[in-house]
Amino acid sequence: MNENIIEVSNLKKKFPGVQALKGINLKIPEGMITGIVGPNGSGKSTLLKIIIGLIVKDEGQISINRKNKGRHLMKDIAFLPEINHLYRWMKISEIIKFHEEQFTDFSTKKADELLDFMNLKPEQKIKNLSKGMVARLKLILVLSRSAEILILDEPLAGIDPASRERILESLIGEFDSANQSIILATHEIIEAERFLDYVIFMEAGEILLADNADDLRAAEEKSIRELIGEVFE
Amino acid sequence: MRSIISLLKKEVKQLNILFIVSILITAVWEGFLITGTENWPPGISFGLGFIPLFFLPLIMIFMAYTSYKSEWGNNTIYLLKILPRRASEINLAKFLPAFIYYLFLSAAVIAVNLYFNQSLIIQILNEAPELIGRQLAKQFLVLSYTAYLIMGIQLYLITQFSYIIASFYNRFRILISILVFLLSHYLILRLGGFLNYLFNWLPDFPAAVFMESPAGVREAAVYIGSAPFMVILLIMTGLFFLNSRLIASDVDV
Repeated sequence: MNENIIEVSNLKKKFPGVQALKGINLKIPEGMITGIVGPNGSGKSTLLKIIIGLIVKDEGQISINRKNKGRHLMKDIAFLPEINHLYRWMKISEIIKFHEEQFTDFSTKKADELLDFMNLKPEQKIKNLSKGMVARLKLILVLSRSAEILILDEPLAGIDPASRERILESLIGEFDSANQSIILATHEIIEAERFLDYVIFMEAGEILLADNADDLRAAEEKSIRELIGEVFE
Repeated sequence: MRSIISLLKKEVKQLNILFIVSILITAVWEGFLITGTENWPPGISFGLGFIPLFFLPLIMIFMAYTSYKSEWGNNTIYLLKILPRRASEINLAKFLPAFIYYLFLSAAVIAVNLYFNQSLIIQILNEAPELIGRQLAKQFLVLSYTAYLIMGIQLYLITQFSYIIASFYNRFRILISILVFLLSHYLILRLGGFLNYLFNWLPDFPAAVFMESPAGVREAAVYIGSAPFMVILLIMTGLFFLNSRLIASDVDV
């Protein structure tokens, strides 16, 4: 039985005019690839941002790795935001060097290997990269760290099919289940579903369902994709 | 330490165009006054040489206002907030390049003007009794430059604070920034006045003054309180950490 890497209880967050999270209770198991799926605006990103401390919660408790949340946990968490958060004036080599200087667990060797695999060149400027290339670069920066928890917010959003395949291949290839846990928020389930070990369904700031992907598939005799269709109907 | 230096390098690279352009304009201006104004009446070019000192505080305000605005605008605030660094370290990495630029460019402007106008300065000093002139000039220079540096720091931190407060609101951000900016100066003045009493026990700086009377010029000592310096230092330190704290936790991205 896996222990829980993240535990959330009664988490609430309100933005002007909308209750983004309505008392979320959640346990994310350790050593698994957990998918948080749901339509746009279901609260997936808000939940992840609160977990890593980018947004201040209104109410509730969060425990990460059996510790109360704090900024020191940034050392243990590698986060990939949905938007392009990189300095556009930097070259790829510069942003890699910047990460290497900031994160003690960052491996430049691994980043170089992943650059080759993802068809990116160190001398390219970030402002000249396409959306797919930026998505691949963001993933390289996350995967080059040996952080305990990888949190990926919509890593496949707006990416062409070829890039999606590469991103998922890298993700699975680099995942070390003995020492890492991945939490992946996505509304693009088609490619991702075969990799998920644990699935959390969210809609309108609430958890609709959370269980092992294999158990769900076996119990319902349906793929996660089909199940999502039913859950959100 | 390596990570702080890395943050500092990033900030310097982000500001390098502003640094280079302003240093070039200043250099061209000073160069023109040194080489192209031989026929001007004496003293004019000396006075005009200090004009860049009026613009430097404005550049400090600009740097402070854009220090986090550009991070929000480009979404790079996400990158800063997910770094395993204290907010004060990130804020220090933003403040230091701006302050060092302010310090060195203002010192360079003063030094260049004093160096290339030595004959004029000597003439002025010769007109006053030697001791009086030199002593007064030295005290004037040290005190006014210290005040100038404090003003630069204060403008930077208050502008940054004003922007952060305005970012809590979705509308009228520039107006709110201006209001907070003005109000902060008033509050600091009032708070400073109150805190000043608490630091009255601090030793005073002795300074020589010269008094002219029919009997001649005589030297006297006056004492300048060190409490105001301590108070402004405390308030600025507090404001720096308050800005860092607000950036770290209270402003959502």
